[in-house]
Amino acid sequence: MASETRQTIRADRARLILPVLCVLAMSCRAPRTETYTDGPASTPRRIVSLIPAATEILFALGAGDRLVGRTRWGVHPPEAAAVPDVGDGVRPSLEVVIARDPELVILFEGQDTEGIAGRLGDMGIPILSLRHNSLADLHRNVALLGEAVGCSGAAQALSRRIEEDLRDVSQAVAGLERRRVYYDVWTDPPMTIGRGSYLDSLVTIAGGRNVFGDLEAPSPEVGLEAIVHRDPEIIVHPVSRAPDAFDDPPEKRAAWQAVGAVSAGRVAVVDADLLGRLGPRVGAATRELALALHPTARIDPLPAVGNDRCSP
Amino acid sequence: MLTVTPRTMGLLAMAGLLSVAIMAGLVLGAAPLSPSAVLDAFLDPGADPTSTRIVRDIRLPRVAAGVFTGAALALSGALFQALLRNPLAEPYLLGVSSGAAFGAVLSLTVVTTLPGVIAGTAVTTALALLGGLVAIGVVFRVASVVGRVDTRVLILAGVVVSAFFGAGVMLVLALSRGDAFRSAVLWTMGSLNRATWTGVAMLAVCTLAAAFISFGLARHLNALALGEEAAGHLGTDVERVKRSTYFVASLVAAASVSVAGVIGFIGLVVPHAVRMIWGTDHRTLIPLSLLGGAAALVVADAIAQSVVRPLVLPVGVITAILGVPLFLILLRRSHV
Repeated sequence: MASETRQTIRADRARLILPVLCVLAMSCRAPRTETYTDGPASTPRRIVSLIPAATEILFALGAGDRLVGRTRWGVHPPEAAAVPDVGDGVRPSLEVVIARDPELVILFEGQDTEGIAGRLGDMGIPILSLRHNSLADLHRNVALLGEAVGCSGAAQALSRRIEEDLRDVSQAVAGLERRRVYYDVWTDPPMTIGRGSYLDSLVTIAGGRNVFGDLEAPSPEVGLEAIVHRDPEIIVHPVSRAPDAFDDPPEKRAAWQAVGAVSAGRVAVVDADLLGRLGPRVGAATRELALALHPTARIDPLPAVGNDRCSP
Repeated sequence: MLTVTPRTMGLLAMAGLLSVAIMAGLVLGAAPLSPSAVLDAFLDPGADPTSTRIVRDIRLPRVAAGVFTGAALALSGALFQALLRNPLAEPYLLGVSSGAAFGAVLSLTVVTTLPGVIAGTAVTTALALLGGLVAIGVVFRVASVVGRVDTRVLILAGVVVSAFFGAGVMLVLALSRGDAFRSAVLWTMGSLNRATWTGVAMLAVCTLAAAFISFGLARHLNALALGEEAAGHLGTDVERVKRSTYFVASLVAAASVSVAGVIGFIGLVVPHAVRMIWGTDHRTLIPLSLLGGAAALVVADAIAQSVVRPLVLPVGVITAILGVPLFLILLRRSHV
């Protein structure tokens, strides 16, 4: 008797859940069924960018109005905030991406996104996977994105401007003594930048020398002892300006007092959101870094990133 | 005439091993320092200040944390194996580590991002300890409903509570931001990086108190190995011994997890290795496990810190890579 009642309740619940599922299913749009054989036939008008830096590049190329999806953190330039948020870019949700009905999806190249890249390919949605490690990758990405949206001329101009910005910063610090830098990516375990990271190049351009520049990996995990031993002059500590960001300043870490630069108070805070993006603002990022390393240096502010309209 | 018992021999051998391990721990690290530079850091007031800082402020607390974490884990493992009479028992089996991990992950993803809360090791350590204590309490409450502790129920309750907190960790991680996710995942992988003198002192007090209580329990644990009924006939207050063993083993495990995260293998393998060489008498097993666990973790950490310098490896990788072959050799030899 009791088990009968329980079964009835269970059946009732199922009856409640079914219509909810149906409504949910209908509210999602069916995926596109057209298949492209060899990339997009024409320039895409609906683009989902799962890389914040690519979002910035597209806006700088004047193709920002074609974005129909960005990651949660891709909110620069300010106009990007109006583009619908599709969530995480490294672990993207296929459903959310497809629901934007994209004609091109831009994603990080790598194992994390391999699965989703394959699925999008199967559905005939063109993808553009971008590597994101070195300054050379940035120029390559600008060219690839320019080509994909039919704004190659604007892409060449942007690449040239980035070169000029970096040259300006480099010239401003040219006569100054190189500072030995530890770049504080992560606290526990201590993680920094190696030769494989574009940040290593930016440190060099900004008049510094990465004390772990001999390591190949982009973000190697190193021992605290090794940091003390290599005795950097300055700790560069990136902090995000996001309201809910997590900050763990080196001065507050008990064990880090053993690092000479920390106990001597030589910790320079930089904008993590600016330095964390390998995009059009890389010159501004390098300028920020140069000012952190050489507070007395005079470096003129760089011209703002253009936002021309490029029509394909 | 002086007679040397195998127990004394074992104690001397293990104490020797621990001394060698501590020396290795002080000499080997992520920074390449010569043994004489390490010695100067302690003895010579005019020694290179950088080397002195490395040795005194980083290596010394690290080695101390290794000694007490390793000792705590091996003691906890030995006690759980005796209590549950199960060779697979280890400090993390009954949910202490999952409860602690849940507390730590909650701290790293939610609590430390609240306005006014200072991010730091102390908050996370305290919440991890609290999480471990909650798990210990829940498991005990479930297993002792009829006024006595049923060890079979204890295992089941422990495994289930462990799974529940494990799911809680996954849930919190799934809902967390990118950088909080990373710090939480890295926390759950054990490491001696975050050891502070305060944490080490707390752990040392817990471990020494637990060791002291365990020496008193040793005789009763020997009786318990014959079965609960037989132990009762031999004059052991079985329920009291089981309760004390459970709480001592759990608390010391919780203290170690809150200081160093989850470091596998020491708690499982060290007591077994000691048993294979020196036998199952808990009066020998407990002190030798304490010393052996300390030596094993300090050596593993010295290797993890120095083998690919200046990069470092997770210490759990070394405890497993070195522990498994050694254990298999012992296992084969003890059954020949």
